[in-house]
Amino acid sequence: MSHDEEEFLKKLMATFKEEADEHLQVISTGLLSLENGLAPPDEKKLIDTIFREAHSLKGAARSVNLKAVQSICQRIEGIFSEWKLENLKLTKELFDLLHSALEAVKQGITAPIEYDKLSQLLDALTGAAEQKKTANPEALLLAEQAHDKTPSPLEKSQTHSEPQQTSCVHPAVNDSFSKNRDKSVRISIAKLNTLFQQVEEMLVIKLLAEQQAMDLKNLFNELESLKKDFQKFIKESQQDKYFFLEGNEKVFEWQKKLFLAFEKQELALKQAGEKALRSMKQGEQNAHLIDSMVDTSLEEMKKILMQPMSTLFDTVPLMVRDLASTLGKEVEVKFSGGAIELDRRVLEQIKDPLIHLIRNAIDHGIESPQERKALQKPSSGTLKIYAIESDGNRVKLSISDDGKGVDVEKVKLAAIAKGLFSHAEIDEMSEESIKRLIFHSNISTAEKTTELSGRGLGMGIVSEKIDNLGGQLEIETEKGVGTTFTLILPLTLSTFRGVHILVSDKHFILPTQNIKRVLRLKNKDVQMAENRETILLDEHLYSYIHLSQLLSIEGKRNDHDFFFALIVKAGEQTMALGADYVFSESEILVKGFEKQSIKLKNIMAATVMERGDVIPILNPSELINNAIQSNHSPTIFAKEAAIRQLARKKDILLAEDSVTTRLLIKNILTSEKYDVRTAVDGKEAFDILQTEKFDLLITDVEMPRMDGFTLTAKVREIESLKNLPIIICSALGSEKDKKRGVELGANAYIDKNSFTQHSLLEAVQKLM
Amino acid sequence: MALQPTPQDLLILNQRAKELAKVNFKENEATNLIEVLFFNLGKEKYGIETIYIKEVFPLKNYTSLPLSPSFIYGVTNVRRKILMIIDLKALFEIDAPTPKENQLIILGQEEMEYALIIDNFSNIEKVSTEKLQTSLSTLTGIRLEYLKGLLLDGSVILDGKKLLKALFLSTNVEDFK
Repeated sequence: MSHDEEEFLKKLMATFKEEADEHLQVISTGLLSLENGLAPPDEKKLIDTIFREAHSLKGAARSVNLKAVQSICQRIEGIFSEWKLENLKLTKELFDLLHSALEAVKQGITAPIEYDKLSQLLDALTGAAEQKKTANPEALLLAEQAHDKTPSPLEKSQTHSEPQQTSCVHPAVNDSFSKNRDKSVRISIAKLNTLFQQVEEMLVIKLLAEQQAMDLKNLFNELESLKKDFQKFIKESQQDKYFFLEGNEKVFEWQKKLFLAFEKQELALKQAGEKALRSMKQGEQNAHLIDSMVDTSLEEMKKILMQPMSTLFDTVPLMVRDLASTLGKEVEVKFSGGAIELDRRVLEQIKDPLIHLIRNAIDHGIESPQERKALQKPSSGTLKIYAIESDGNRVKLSISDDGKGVDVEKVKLAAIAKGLFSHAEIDEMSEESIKRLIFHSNISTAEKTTELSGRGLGMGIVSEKIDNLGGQLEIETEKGVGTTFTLILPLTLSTFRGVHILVSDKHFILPTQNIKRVLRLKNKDVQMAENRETILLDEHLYSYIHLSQLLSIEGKRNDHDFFFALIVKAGEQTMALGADYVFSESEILVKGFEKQSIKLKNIMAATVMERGDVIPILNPSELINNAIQSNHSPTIFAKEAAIRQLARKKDILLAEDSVTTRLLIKNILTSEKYDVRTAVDGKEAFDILQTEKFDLLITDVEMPRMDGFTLTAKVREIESLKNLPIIICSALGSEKDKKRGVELGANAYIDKNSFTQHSLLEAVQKLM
Repeated sequence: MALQPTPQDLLILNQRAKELAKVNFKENEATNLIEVLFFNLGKEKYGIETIYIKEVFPLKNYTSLPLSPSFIYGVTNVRRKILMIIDLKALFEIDAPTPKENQLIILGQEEMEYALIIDNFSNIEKVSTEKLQTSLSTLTGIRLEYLKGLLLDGSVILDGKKLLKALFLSTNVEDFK
């Protein structure tokens, strides 16, 4: 076979696949509506439509020589024609058979079907068509004849005509549709994408124009100041009485010449300045014009790439049907808002999350018909998928089931079992926060948390995908009533903005949407806590790592005693990443590694700068995950989240005579959002305790006036303070001392010699 | 009267038939020839079929990537398209430095495209596939997987398709190492 021929067949096959997909989609959607029952006239119309689709599919299969697909289609057509003549009884078995036949066709298009399977299917289909009465041969013939006018399959594929062309034979059916079609054309997505990329490339022109306008402005300013200097110089020389010093004739001649030259230069400078001014103004205008033109083109282009939500919904009914029947459940699915249009790229990105949420709803949400009956619910569960537009550029997509809901208690247990939170923490958390825990995408914990909560794996991934789109994910659930997941999504993808940073001598971009703050900090602002570097900011402790360390970039760091910290948020996690310099925040043209499949660690894409250099764009969620993994302590993030959610700040009294120790402990505690009151010795502490209420007492042992042991004993004597948790924190670390402390009524004894932030916080958390 | 070929006609026809047969024979031979672009990696000479090569040009600037495996030399901008540069020397464990004056080969097929960094471009030559040896005694390791054959002078012809496929399959760099 010649190369051209091979190419042609390849192309033909690709066209066929596309066409077949459409036919199959129409048939399966049609079957589903038929199964749900329709008014007789609608039903008849629909049967006509799917009959025609099956017929066209058969013809198309013939043109690419797919015999198996052809025979299956022929049998399906046979069934439909019996159906049209109302010779068939519509049973669930029949629908099952037809769906499995469609599935076989789908497979048959990409790979050969096994012989046994095929013949079995064909027999079943033939059997189904002959199920009732023998077919009326005349009617069958008539039904066939109606389609003789359809273009022959070969013609169709050669002209690449669209499948809907068959509708011209039946103009009555899709009249409104064909009228609309006159006003629109079909363009392949590949072509549109190429065009879109070209338009996106124009962003570079925009950025260049801005840069040029800026350069011209600088040039003008330089010329202006040069001119001023020069004028000043001339003026000064004119006023200087020594300038025209009488005397040597020759010198005087030179002076005159020089002065003339100066004047000429001054004039030239003035003219150059004027030209620069004109260019500058022109440049600014151009930049303005280009700016608005590029923005408009991009905006329009984005609109062209919009597709209705229904393209996403189309595949859902079949999926629901399959899933429900495998799981032995009854599920009815309802849609609304299918007409809302949004960016194709957004649609692509939410396809998986949607499938995931639907699977979860059917698998774990909706109960079996028996269970439902026992609960006095209708035996068939309802899955509602609806989209509504909200505040202009956003769409809310909700997936709602009327199943058993998320069991908050189980989520709690899972979170505790995972060591994410203590019992006390969990009890303090609002129900809302606990529900949100199922989105927790903490690598090791996500699985178990969600598994136990009955929401399958990978909820974290759903959350991450939505996050990457700049969207939000919300959950509403009530035990026994149902669960609703709401995805709040942008209608179009906004232009990518990024922060340009320097790590050692390497340039990177971080997506602006993930950066909460950028700070210039001194090296001493980084504190060690729990064996890891942290940064305290607005009473909040962030884990910190310098990017050069995270990305193992060796080389020169700057010698300054300051650095830049970027507070980066990805998914549910936030941390501080260090950089050596932060240049600017700007619009960036993202270039993917489209034709290269090697996945790079930490890098999501790249951009090309005006000068042509490539700058990698870092992937924030991967960076954070790697940082956590390398620190082997994922819990701090979760704890931060939990502590943030504590309803009320806890009050702690700290009795400690050493100023340093007092400050140290106070810092540790306040960074974890505790309110700390200090006392310089046991006596002062005791006095404070009698007038104010505290949740915890931490005391040193050796103090002037009253020591810690005495304080503990005295506190325990007071009825209202009997249950006040007490931690003794002392350098006296012998077993004897510890024993004494506990005997006197302390709840915990921390040895200052082996004191760590972690052990202190752990004890504090345990006791409250 | 029906047309009958004269003996003279027959002679001409026979000759023509021979001529045609000859042409056919030549064409057959031609299909056994492959066009190969040769280049150097250290002291070794390698070749790749030109049908997999889109272009060759000197590498001007590139950006190295942190934490990437050694066989990824970096990324570069080719007419505003970003391409990953694959270092075959790292892949084949050839211990030789890459000279300053080096070149890039753009290796591609359909939806796949990579840049390969080479020391220098040698020449393009037609090679008969019959002359290719597939005895592999001298080659070891990863190179074996991408081998099309060896020539008598020791140059190694790589299979562009297999190389692209391997790069395609290695969606996870760890698998590749």
